[in-house]
Amino acid sequence: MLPFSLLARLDAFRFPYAARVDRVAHKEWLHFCVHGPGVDAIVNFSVTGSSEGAARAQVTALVREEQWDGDVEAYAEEDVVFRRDRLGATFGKNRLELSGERYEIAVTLAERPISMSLSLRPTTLPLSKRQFALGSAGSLHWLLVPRLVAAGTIVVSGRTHRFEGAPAYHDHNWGRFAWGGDFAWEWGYGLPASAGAPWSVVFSRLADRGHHEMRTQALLLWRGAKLHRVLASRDIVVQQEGYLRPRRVLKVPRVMALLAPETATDVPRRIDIHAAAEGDELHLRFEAEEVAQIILPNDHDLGITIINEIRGFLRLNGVVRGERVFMEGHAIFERVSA
Amino acid sequence: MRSSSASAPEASFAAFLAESLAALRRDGPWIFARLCERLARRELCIEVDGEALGLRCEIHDIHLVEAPRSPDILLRTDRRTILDLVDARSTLLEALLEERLVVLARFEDVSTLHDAVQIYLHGAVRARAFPAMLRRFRQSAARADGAA
Repeated sequence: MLPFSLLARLDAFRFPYAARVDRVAHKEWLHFCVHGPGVDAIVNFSVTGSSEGAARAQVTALVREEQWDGDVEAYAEEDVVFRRDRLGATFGKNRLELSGERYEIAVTLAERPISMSLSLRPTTLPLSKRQFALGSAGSLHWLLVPRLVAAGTIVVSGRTHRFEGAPAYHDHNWGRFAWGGDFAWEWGYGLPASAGAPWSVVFSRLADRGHHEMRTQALLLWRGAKLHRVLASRDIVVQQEGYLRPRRVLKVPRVMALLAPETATDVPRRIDIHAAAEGDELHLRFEAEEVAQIILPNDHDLGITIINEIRGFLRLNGVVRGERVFMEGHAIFERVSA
Repeated sequence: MRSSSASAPEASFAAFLAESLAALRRDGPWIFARLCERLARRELCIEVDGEALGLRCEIHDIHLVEAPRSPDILLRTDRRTILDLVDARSTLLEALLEERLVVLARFEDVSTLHDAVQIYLHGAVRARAFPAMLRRFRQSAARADGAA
């Protein structure tokens, strides 16, 4: 039995409690990924401050059957309500809530024929990482629940996907920084296709905006509910090969395709991560299959920042504390590009 | 002459454009300034669903005016095409090739118009007033479709 009271204390919206002066550059989002049979989904509830102190709230919903579909929808402050007693918010008709032992999510896009009702139960303990420095651009905090099981329904253009026991991922990020600053990240997770496999893995890497200078990176391995091994910057070598060359790229919000129409990406086709320290060794291979792009306007110039959501297949091999580690299955990597 | 903040019938494209330029001026003054700078000393004629209006562009402002007879740039389209572009159902190139979007101008002014549209879009995606304006624009397009 996991200590859900811990999760309830850690995973709460920060924006409603931020001082007015701190709201200006405040950014916060709760991110969920679900891998059902024949369907993948990404749901993101985000809130951004402004110089007027008012919130700009958005719901991002991406769903993949044969290819990605979805959009980002924005809500005015009067259409946004935060719960005060626990994690919970409604953005328009969309709802997110941590209720008892589960995250409950209900999303219906207004402009796309996509809706979903999801119930996600954590099977790993949360990990909270404070204060990732984003260079001079600010800082970012990160709460991570790498593995959950999801039940629910996803409807896309009248096609209904019902599932139980689907692997899922959640993180919650908040901080004060400006899009377009001198930072970028690569981040990804892998969840086993087999529910009985104990392993789940997360990789994170922060760099300068051009990805030329690595600032920090880590490979985190969970065994069952608990964080089992952390391999840090100096123990990790990352190699990337080729570029994904999709014929079509979904870009959201859809209007951003007018500002970034190109389908060429800097998304690697393959990422190999080798980590070794103190007799432990892990090798992770991620094979990219398809990408969707969330495109954000920079805060202080007319540029844009592209968050590539890359679906693929992951295989993890190695030995940790004398025990063989092997898993393969669902993975999503995220890459921030200029 | 009408100013860009002048009121017009709600469903008219002129009203939408006036409101959107006012929102840009208010919410993104540095972007509005860049838009003015790019279009400065030009007159545009914009025709949307047969409604023609003019834009007289100065170095620090843009005024909605009666449609000029000899504009530097003529842009002709319809609401449905605009929404197809906004919702990525169509690309700019497709809309031009299918003549759902028509631009008549000297070569250098075509380039100027493209730059200006990009600046306008950068302002639109940053201005908090735009989502509500776009919702009203969709409603007016649906009404226009229903009336057709």
